Amino acid sequence: MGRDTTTFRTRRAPRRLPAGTVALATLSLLGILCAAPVPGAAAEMSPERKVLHVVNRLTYGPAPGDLERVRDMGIEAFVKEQLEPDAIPQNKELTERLEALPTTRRGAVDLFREYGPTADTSGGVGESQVLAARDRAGVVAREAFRARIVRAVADPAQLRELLVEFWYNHFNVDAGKGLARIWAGAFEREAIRPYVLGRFLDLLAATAMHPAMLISLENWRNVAPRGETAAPGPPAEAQSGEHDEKAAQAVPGIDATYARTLLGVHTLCDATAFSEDDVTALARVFTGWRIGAPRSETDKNGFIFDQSAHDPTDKTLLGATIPGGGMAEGAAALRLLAGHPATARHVCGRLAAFFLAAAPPEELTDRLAKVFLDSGGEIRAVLTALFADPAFFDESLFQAGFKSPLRHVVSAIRAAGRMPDDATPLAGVLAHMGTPLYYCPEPGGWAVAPAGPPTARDLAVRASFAADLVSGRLPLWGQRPAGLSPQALLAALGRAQTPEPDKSGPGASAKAPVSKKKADPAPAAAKSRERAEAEAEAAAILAGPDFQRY
Amino acid sequence: MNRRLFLHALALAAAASACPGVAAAARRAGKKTADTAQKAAAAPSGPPGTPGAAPDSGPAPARLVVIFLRGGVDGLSVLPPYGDDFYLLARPTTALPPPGTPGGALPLADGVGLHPSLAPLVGDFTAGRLAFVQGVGVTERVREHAKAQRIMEAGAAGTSGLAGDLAGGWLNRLALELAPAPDPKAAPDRTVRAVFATPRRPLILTGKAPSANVPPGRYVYPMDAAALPDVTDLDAVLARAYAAKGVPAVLTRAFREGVAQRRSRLAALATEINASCADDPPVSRFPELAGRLAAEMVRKPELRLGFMAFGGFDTHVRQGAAEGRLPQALAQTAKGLRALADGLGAGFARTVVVVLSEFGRSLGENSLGGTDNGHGGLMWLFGGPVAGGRFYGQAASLSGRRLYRERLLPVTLDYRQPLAAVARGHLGLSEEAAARVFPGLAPVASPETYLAQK
Repeated sequence: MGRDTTTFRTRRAPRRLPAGTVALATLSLLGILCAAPVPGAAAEMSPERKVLHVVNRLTYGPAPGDLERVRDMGIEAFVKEQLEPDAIPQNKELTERLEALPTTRRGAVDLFREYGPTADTSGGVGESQVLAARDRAGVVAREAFRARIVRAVADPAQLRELLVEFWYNHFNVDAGKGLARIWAGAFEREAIRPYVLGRFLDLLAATAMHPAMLISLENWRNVAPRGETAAPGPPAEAQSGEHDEKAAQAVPGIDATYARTLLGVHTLCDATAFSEDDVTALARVFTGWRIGAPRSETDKNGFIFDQSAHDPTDKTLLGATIPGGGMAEGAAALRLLAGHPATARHVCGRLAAFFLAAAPPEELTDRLAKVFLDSGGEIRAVLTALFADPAFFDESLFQAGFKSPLRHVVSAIRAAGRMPDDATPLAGVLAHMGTPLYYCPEPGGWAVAPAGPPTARDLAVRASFAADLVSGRLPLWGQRPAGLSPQALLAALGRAQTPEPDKSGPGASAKAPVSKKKADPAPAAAKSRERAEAEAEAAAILAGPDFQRY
Repeated sequence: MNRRLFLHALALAAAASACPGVAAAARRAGKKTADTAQKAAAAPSGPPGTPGAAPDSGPAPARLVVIFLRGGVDGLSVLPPYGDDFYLLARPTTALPPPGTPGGALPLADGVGLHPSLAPLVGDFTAGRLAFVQGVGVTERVREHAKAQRIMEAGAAGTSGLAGDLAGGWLNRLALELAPAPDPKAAPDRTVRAVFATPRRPLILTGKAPSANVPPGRYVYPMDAAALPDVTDLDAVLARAYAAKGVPAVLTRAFREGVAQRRSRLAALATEINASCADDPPVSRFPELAGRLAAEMVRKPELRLGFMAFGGFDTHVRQGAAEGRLPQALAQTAKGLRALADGLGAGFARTVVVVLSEFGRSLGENSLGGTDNGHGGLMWLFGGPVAGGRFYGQAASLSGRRLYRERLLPVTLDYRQPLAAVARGHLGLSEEAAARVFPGLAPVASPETYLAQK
């Protein structure tokens, strides 16, 4: 094992991506598909590198023992295990931790009833009451955050957690907007999490009908502009959201926000593949898809199809005719979009970029898109093909991806090997890094497919984070985990025998001070200095250049 | 360097130019002052009064001591709302842990604690001699220390008040109101009723009324960018790692830029932090100066108003939770307040100590482990006459809305309101007199609001 691990840190620079790739990474996610492919993908990684690579790509980063486990079980078995997350035994401690977050077990409607805006029973609700209710509802978002972070850190079904991040970003709902503040977590649990490895069409349908999405992309006020019956006021509940004024002033009618995002971000994402007429037609298809009356007893999932607000005429979408037929139109449209070749390329290209941490080669995207179309949009089938593709193990990808802030933070906690007692402070850390979880205002979510290189500010913040983490200033644990010693960190990361070129190896530097300290007249001072040295060394690992990549 | 020399010179000049008698007395008394003062206070006949002082056979006179903590004290650290999990989100590295954990807050009320460095004051709080007024400040948002301090010392409503005809500082106007009604036949009243322990006469005591000085002596602020605790050690190790072969150029460049950016940011902050002290002594001098000021006030019962100001609360960098820069400053504050109370002896029962700061701090932590200049802050009321053991004003509820949009805690009470109430209820000013001290203020609280029933 010792000999093997040394191959990990061959000092040779990984093949640099073309300059264009770096620039592209900072561009809008929508541009990713047009990125230049990695050229000349030929050389495969060594078997030992493959182990680290597959752990890096299918998890949030190695935790203590992960590399040994994957080496023992074999890469194929590990990939297979991760592709079947329901069969992975749950971590008991994690289950207990999640059970301590009561709002994360409640549905969207239930949460609305408990934490939604106060019902306007008498002559209006005062501003202070509205704000007080909103402040009280903050606990829902914070518990959602804690649930996501502890799962990202400790759920053994790591691939599923990565996919939750990926698909949440794909169908991003900004928790900073209106009722989404109480629904972001519910949206993840109800519309994303169950389908991350299932059929893409199911994701489309679940997100289209979820009240968080209906609020976020304004479809709750997308109504057919005809006659008197077709212009009902918006549902009372939605009015109490943060965009009341806008809602009150808006003339009821077609709102194409959702339709445009569905075509331009969620599915086709190819401006040449659809026209403005398609956007309008799709918006008409979704007229009457609204949020229900969560306060009524009958409301189960926060969605209603409001026949009276629906435009019943026939529509032409992407050259196909969708006959007027109520809610069935939406189902037909989603089926059409999910099976579209442009969707296949877009979705597969983004998935590949996420797992390669680089713009995927054109041919790889083509191969995956074919799997997508042949399998009826099975995400598991696409990923199975991706992880078996030689391009996935191309030498140029080894340690070549830049970590997103979320991945950076979670990988550091995982390397420490202990679940945080309370992950709340990390919400503040992620906000400092410019990517507060659940609070991305862009429809495409945070840049994760792939994440761009860290900026100057990112690296400065990450250095502070590392120092705060190892010193215990960041109160994640009641007691400092042993895994935060430099030796333990290097072992977890598969760099145990790495001789540092600029200083003596970690083993040596840990031992040398001890013998020196023997003669020290002030053992207490020596001990604290030794501790400070170990902390600085550990922080340097977690803030170092190797830890920025994966 | 120049700055230090300048400060030395300043301190020495102040010592030389201030009331020679007081300076000499202070020098002579040195450390023993506090002891003698205590003994003197305990003696039933009271201190030997200077000729011409009001005959003081009865209880000690009603006194007011104002302590100005310069830099903007972080109210969320003084009174950590440990019961609110949002606190932990807003303050990843500066939130105090709940009571019962190492370095945890000291429980005061349900979900609200006191900073552990303020432990010496817990007894005063429970005994009803210490209260906090929350959400206090200058109603207008002023970001600069100097300007906010000027407004608060002038007793103005806001920036516009500074341009108006407010004469000098409000403590000076208050001193004038303490003088008996002018008698045209008698000689003009030259009684010195106020004393300050800052190197120069502060704005708050500028005006027609005379004041005495307890010179703070020499001190320096070793506050340059290098003195600010940060991750500079780590930077040195990382610099080597990022310069190594095989590290992508984009990372090496970004790292260097990041270090440079942080350095210049720290340098700018060091300048601001220094300026926020307004050349007043560092808070480490609080206990000693408090003892000397108390001794002086005990010795001269006609000194009914006291003023001290200390720097060291502009905690932009590595503020610390239970340990660090702010905890040290708070520990000195607690010691200083206790020294003042002990020094005043029996007189403390008739003294109200008001602790002020120009503003509070940002709700959220910055990326240097500190907090930035905020808005709403705390006022501390300390002393025998205070109806303590409780909180006044409005505690701001913490929320994402506040953290990400407003970024600070609101001012829900004009800082002049409690001051005016204390001036009336404690020092016996009439409504008209209080209106002359704080022109344009419409009082909202009754004069007895913050005071115990007599």
